[in-house]
Amino acid sequence: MVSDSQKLSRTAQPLVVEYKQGFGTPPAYPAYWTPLFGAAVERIIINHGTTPNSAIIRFNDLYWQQARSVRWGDMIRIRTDQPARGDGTPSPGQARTVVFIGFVTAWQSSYCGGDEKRQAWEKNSFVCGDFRWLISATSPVYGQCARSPDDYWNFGYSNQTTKPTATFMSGLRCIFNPDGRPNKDRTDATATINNIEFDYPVFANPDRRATGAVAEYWTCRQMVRYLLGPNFNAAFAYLPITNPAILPGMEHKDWDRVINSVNVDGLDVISAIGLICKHIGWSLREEYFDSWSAPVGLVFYKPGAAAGYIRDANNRTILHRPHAPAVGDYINPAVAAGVKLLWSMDIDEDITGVVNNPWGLGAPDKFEATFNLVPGWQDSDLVPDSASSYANLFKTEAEIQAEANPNQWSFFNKYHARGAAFLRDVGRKWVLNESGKYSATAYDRGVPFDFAAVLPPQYILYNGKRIYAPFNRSFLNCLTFDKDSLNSVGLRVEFSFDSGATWQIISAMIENLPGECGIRITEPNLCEMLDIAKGSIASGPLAGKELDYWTSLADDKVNSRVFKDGQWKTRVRVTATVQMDQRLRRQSPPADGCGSPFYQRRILDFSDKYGIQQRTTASVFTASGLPAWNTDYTLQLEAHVDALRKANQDMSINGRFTFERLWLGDGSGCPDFACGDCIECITGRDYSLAATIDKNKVVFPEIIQITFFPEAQKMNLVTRDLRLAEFVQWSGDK
Amino acid sequence: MATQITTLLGNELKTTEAPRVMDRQFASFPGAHGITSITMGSRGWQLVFTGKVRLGGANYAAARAAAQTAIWNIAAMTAWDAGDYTYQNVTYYNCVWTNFRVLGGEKTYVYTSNGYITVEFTITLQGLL
Repeated sequence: MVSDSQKLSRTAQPLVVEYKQGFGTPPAYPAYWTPLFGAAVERIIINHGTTPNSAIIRFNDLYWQQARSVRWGDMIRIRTDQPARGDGTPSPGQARTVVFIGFVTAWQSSYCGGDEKRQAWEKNSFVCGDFRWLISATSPVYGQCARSPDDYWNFGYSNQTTKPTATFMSGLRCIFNPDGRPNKDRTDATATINNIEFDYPVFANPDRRATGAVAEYWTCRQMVRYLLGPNFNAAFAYLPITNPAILPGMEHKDWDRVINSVNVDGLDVISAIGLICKHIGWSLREEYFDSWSAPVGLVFYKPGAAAGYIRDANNRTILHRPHAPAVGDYINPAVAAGVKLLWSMDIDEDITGVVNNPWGLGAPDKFEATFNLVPGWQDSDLVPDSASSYANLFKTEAEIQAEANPNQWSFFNKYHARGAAFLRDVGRKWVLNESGKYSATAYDRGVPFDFAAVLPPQYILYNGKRIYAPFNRSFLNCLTFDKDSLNSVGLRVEFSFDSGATWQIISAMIENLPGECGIRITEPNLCEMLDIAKGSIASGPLAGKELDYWTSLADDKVNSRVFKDGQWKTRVRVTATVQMDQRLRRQSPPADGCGSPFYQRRILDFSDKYGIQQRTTASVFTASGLPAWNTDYTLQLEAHVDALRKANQDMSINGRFTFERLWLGDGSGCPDFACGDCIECITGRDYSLAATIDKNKVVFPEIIQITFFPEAQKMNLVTRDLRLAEFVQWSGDK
Repeated sequence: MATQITTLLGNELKTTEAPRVMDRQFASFPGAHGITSITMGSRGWQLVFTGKVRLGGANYAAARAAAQTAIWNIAAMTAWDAGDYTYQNVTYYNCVWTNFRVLGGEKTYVYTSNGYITVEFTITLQGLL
């Protein structure tokens, strides 16, 4: 039998509107669809991604103010009207296509008076949104489902095992893999809703350890499993997705990817899924079926992967070849072949959006090293009390406690934190002198610190020139971690009283300076910072005095030693991380034959994703065996920038295509076009819509919106180019 | 219950039948020969009545006033909902009245020699199915 699509004179395809009335809050619906008489479909808009489908349905026999037979929240189905058998099953080749299922969300009433040019009219209609609208409106995401101590057997003991339960932690934020740390529990939990049992993933303590960690990385698939599972899908009763991981499209290996720091706290479920899709360059659409058990489904697809011409489980997006008859052609052969005739079309092939030379900027370089500091005070300000052969050189806390007027001693008055004329920097502030401020005559501490002496030359020198600026910076926590890989060791401050031959850590209150590289000792009494070896001053005017931090300083001053000449015995060094003035950056140069003759650039800030940080050999922790958070994402940044160039280097082909009939499947049971399908070329006039993104891969404009106009029996496709806004993050398998 | 049309329009009626017309939409393609057509369904048949209101009165003015009222009553039928109507023993279902016009040459209200006002009119019985 010749299909209607192959005849020159076709028959209009009526669309039937049916509804189910909702009762209660949230509404329950009857099992059967009831025809909605008097309803005419004005238009149906099918959208991709997180934008819901919508339908506008009009009552042609009602005045604008008259009551409608549908209420807000009623469910609506729009389908084709192939005849069915008495038992409701379709005849062969006569399967009905369900074009839309959704919920009444708005009533619209309007009218207009007439004038000389046109008649008056009245309109009484309603608008419907699809299940993506319902989920986005009803299903917010926040908190974490995680195991409490009571969700384990024998929690904390060596025979600890997990229960199938979990608890909702409303105060934790729903962030997957925060800061690159895995936080998914290796063991799922199990729950039962409406007598359906399902497993769902839960959160765990973020843990970066390579072995022994309870946590593993969330893959994108697991994130969708969590978000679309029954815990957060408040529309579960209407769209019962028990295992989101087996939704069509989710089997693809792209969903195995790990993305770091995905924050969906406060989003709705659909927006959250849209965010994850955007990271890996995927999209989704809603599909409808003439089925009791599963009338609605979400399908994930990868833009740009359309292949073949027949839709099946391997090709969820297919290619289309609409036909614009060649000049002078008769249309009947094309019609007889069943091609899709284009009634009108606009195509825009535009280079303005091309980016063929993207620049990716990573984080500024960071290096851990051990830095020798210089005194950040003027020598003239440190004057040891020489009275009575230095009898009052220093006073212990016990002596100060026993004295009614400790301010009589200069040691207390000027150099103790409680002294009346306390000099807070003298003897206390040690600095790196990275800007040269302390090189000046007043301080006279020698030349400014040379980073090229401690940091790897490939990051500090370029053609022999130092590529950092003598600007102030500050010390950051070490990249070295404690052996549980949980905490940085912080800053390590060491003292030497023998010109750097030996170093010791002395317990004292020390603060890190915020405005320059340096530390300030805030310990109230500097003479309580004792030499661990309990030594004493060997020679000179202070010979025999106990060796502590203060007496060592005093000894240097009394003997008129010059710090910049390396004569001081007192030294301080800090092991810390510094952030330098270059960053990881890569640009991807244009490929031959890319879409634009210009170098069209864009700066992409990836400073939260890629960077170089390294514990250098100049750090005392190098030999310690402690782990360090070294990263070098150079290759990943290069791959990312290359991928962005490949995805964006060709001109965009945006188009609007209008067909002179509705292509709704013609008895196959599903519409001919779906979001994600691509327009390969226009036959007849033989116009290719291919865009080459590299020598092996050709892409076509992808359908992002389909609009049906049943009253005019026409349909529109809107296509856009395949700009992938984000690219996949590097996987967490270090 | 179908309404006798003669009770509404009088007895001096002539009819013209216009059968159902199929509504077709055509689409042409630039540069190419041929058009496709889509049948959009039929518009429903029509029965066009041409009739006369004939009313007398004490004088011209009275007769004219009566005829005027009769004409208004017929015109008001165009606002009625769909109904069933019978004419010449044939019942027509789901019909509305449309296209009412008063016909006339130089004078619409004609006062005949034996004292009647006659007004010619036309009205269409439009079947909706």
